[in-house]
Amino acid sequence: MTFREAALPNGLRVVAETDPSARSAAVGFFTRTGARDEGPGLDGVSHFLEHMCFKGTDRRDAARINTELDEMGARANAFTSSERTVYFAQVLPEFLPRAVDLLADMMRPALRSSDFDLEKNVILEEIGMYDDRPDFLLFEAAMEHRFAGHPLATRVLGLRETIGPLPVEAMRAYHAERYAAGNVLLGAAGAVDFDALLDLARRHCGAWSAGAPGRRRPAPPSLAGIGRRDVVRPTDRRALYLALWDGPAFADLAGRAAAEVMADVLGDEVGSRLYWALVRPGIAESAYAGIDAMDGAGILYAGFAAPPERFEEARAILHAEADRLRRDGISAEEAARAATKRASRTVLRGETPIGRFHTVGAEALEGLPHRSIDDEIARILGVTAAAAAGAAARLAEAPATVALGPAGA
Amino acid sequence: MTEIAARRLPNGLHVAAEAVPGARSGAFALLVPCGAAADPSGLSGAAAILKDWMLRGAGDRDARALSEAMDSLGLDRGVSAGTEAVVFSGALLARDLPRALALAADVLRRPRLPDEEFEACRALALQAIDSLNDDPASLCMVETARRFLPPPLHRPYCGEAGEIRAASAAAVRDSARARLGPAGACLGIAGGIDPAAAIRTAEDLLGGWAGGAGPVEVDPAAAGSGPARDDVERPGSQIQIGVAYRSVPADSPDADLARLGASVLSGGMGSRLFVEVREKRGLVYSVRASVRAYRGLGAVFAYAGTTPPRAAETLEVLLAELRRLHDGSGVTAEEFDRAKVKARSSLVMDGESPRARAAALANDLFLRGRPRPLDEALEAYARSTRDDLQRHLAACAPEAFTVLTLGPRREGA
Repeated sequence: MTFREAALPNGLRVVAETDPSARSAAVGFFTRTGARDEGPGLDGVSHFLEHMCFKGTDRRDAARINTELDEMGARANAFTSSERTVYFAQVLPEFLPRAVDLLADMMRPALRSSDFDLEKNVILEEIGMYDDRPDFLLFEAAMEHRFAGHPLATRVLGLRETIGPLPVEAMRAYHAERYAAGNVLLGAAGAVDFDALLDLARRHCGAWSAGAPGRRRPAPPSLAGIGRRDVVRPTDRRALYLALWDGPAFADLAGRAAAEVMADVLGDEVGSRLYWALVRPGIAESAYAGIDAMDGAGILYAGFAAPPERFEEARAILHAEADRLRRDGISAEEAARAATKRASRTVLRGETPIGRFHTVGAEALEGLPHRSIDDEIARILGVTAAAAAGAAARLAEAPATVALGPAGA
Repeated sequence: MTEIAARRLPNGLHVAAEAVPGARSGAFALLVPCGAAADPSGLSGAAAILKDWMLRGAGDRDARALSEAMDSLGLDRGVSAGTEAVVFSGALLARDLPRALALAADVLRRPRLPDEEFEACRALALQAIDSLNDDPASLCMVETARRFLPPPLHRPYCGEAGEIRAASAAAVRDSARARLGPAGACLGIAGGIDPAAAIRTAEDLLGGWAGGAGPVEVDPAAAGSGPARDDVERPGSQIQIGVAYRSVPADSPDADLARLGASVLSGGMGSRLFVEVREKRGLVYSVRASVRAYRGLGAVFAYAGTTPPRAAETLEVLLAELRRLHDGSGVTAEEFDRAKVKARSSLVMDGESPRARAAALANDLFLRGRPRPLDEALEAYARSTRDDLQRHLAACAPEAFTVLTLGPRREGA
């Protein structure tokens, strides 16, 4: 595999990792904007804008966009997170030029009022859909709780109260500022020719206005004193729990590797400390731990889903296991097993162009040097038991926690 | 040309192996035809319990030793217990695949199924039912299937809570030992491997395996004989709508055409359901339809999730589109071309993933009795014409729908 990168005069960056054995290509735009960048009363505008980019441009209406994606046999999608909005398509190589043409056009949406008003209903339906999905609500509630008063607390989908009255002018202004060329990266992986891609970028994005809006990075609130939040949902059947500690930020590569291995030891789906303590004895249906490394902040999380009558027991066990890990460390064998599993999954995920696309693009968007799959495997397998145990020092602080489920135990 | 090898062993196990060019991983999917449909009467949920229980020790290894052995190989694995089958699948670096297959063979041939682990697995099976309840869209499809599919396929994959609570370890163990065998079992292997060598490895490890009950008997004609309409009241923000009707089985010469038809309905953002229900009317966030293939039976299942005031209109538009696909008005040339490109794209993209290919091979063996090389599938789609599709759609017009809604009581409903 080969990796190349370049930038247009207007600041748009272009990266591609080419794989000679790939039979498809994944391509798309990474925009460095998300819920955290929205400002008061605009909760959900990034995600709503993501939808609106599919609703039409000056050259294409929504029907044409949808038809073209289908004509290319594209597996296309987009997502919005706290930090970025990504539009992508996986296509057979012969359709790559057309895919870039289309996606680039979509990045400059017409934002017509009639489309805006109609799509608002779809957004409200999506909010409603997640109302019935406690597993999704848990993470949202935890982020709101841990980061209260900080941009990272903003709900990605927004609120009915902010989406309902949102005027289209506010979205147009947000788009003009946040989708400026300096805030966007065109990425590709798989059966891609970089020079051809760069040429397409010049042709379709060369006229985009330059600009590199910044990003507020206020220090996250201290964990001290945040404590527990209870969300009562009387009709849920299960009791869900999530604890958040501080974790490494995205730019902290060594920290991420050590924390990932440590989190796997603590809470990988199978074979972890939480698995043996909670899932295997049937106390909790699922238990997990992981990290979410963000721009200038990070979280380390652990949680479970259990029957309400076993919630307290499960919660106590989760924290006992976290304490034990922090106190007694990790054996070399345990660390090696966790690292081997993670390295294996890296290989599996990296075997498809779409897998590599997401990794390569996100890392490049944040200005990190490119890492091949081999680099990544070496990084993971290079995590020692001591380094992983060191990452567990974060567990010493009292976490922000959320309990979500039917009232009472 | 992809390299593929297949053999049916004397004990009934059917194996297929395919090399995926450039792949570093090796993947397997071992399918035993003993899902929820094969649970004995009164023991609905045995397969759901077995899903966890079968990994709690095998051969010389107790649960922890087995888990650590798999972890040490970096084996990414899982067991899924569906209605028709239980599938044990895994993926890891290709060079370690033979050792992973040895562990898998141990799990299937010598599962310990220890008494002391039974209660925990029972608890997990009950919690999985609660988990399904907290995922109303999935619950809706399970309940739609319950009303549409012929027995015993209609049984929910997760079993029934009451019968799980009453089950004894001995009864579940007997049921497991009776059906965990090579009769009707299928093994798919794919990745950076030599297919012939992989088949030999499978023979060495599983050739001596014996027993199994084989797939359950189903009468396809009994599909759709449940209630045509059922509205289940359930608290929530949204109304979930499920619809089912007959299609052709996976081994029918028209199976590819059925998939193309589903693609016209729901294969992308220009598809009929997306356009009519979501784009034009803003009725939903989620609407979709797909063909589900079972042994000897095929069906189209459609879904939409919407808010109560929009439910009646959503159902009306959804059913109208399902009827329109089959009413003889046909599909446009553009719709047909898009469906074909989509099929070709999906085949190529899934072909890049050893995990997807291993699962597809096991599925091919189970549903069609032979592996279907990627190139053969690509050629079959390339050959199909719009006339073929229109003929198939007209022949498969739904005589009746099974409709299930799940959600809060609607005013005036």
